[in-house]
Amino acid sequence: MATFHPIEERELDALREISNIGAGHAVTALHQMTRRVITLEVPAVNLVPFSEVAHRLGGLEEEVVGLFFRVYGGSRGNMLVVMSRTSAEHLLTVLFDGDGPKRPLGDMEISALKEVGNILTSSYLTAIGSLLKIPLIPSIPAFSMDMAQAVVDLLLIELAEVTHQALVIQTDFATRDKTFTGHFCLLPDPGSIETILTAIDRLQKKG
Amino acid sequence: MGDKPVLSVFIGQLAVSGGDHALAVHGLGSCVALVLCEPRTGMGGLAHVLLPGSRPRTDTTTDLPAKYAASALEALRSGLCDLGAKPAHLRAGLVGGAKMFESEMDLETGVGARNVDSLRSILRDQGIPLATDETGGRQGRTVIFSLPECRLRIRTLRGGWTEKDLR
Repeated sequence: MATFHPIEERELDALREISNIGAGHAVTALHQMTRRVITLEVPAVNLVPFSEVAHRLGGLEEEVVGLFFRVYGGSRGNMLVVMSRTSAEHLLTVLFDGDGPKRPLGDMEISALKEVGNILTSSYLTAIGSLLKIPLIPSIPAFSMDMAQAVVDLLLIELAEVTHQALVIQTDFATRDKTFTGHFCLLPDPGSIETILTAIDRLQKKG
Repeated sequence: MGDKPVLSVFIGQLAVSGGDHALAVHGLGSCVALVLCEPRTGMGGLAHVLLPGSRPRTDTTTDLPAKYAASALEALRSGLCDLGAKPAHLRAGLVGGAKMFESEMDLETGVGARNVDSLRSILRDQGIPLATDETGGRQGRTVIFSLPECRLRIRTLRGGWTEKDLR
């Protein structure tokens, strides 16, 4: 049974810093797509029991859009971009130039959201990967729109096969008026976090 | 429902009640809620299962007693028998085990369906009748199991509430 080794405060700081850099690149891309000013919250990096993960995404039954990616390359894990349904609809309205989205969402809307997720995740992972000099490659996106707990349970099931806690690297973002809010969540595999921490060490020694 | 206390059963956890409780899972995706009850006495329990099969020996964690299908059923059954339920009188229900994501490439590996298959086959082996089977599909579900009525109320975001009687 693999477990996450206890992570030192210094390492948590470093993980916060890299997720801030990744999320910063992602929201820059989002800003360019939407022309909206988007601000980032301070990243939260926590080793949490499985039951807590969905609570941090707005509540267990909150209807959310989840864009899910596997992360391949030098370090493995899963990435989930989550936004509330109203935020996703707001985003679609902006992307489609004022036309509100169909209810339920059609193929076109779902495809647009997947593409946004793709751009965000690629920006996030590329920024972190080039900083740490480890390749991080996202899979194609998978889409779900349902209750937050139902959307995240697949990620928890996969972690449960090897461990009993989730390391969640979460950065929340929002427009100033809060009409659009969302979360980037990176959940590294327990076997992969060492690779990231070693790369951070290497970087800090050099700096 | 009235003002019966609702006990939320989180992922990997389980609970049994002698009656007069509602046991709930809010937001099942590929996980499965396994419920067992003895209709005669109104005792019952619920397990929030993550994985098929039984606990491998290498898995020494104790904080998720309902993580595996077989161990979850065993724990529920023995919990109910400790309260005085008769194994021959037990009835079961399954809710959940959906496929939550759509993609051009299958990223999910079908764990929801594997959970459901595993639980069905274990119930069959133990001779526990499966009274309600609301599994599969592509939607998340919330489930509330009311005791002593042995009634399941299942909610989806698109379909609203439905009711199933396990008696």
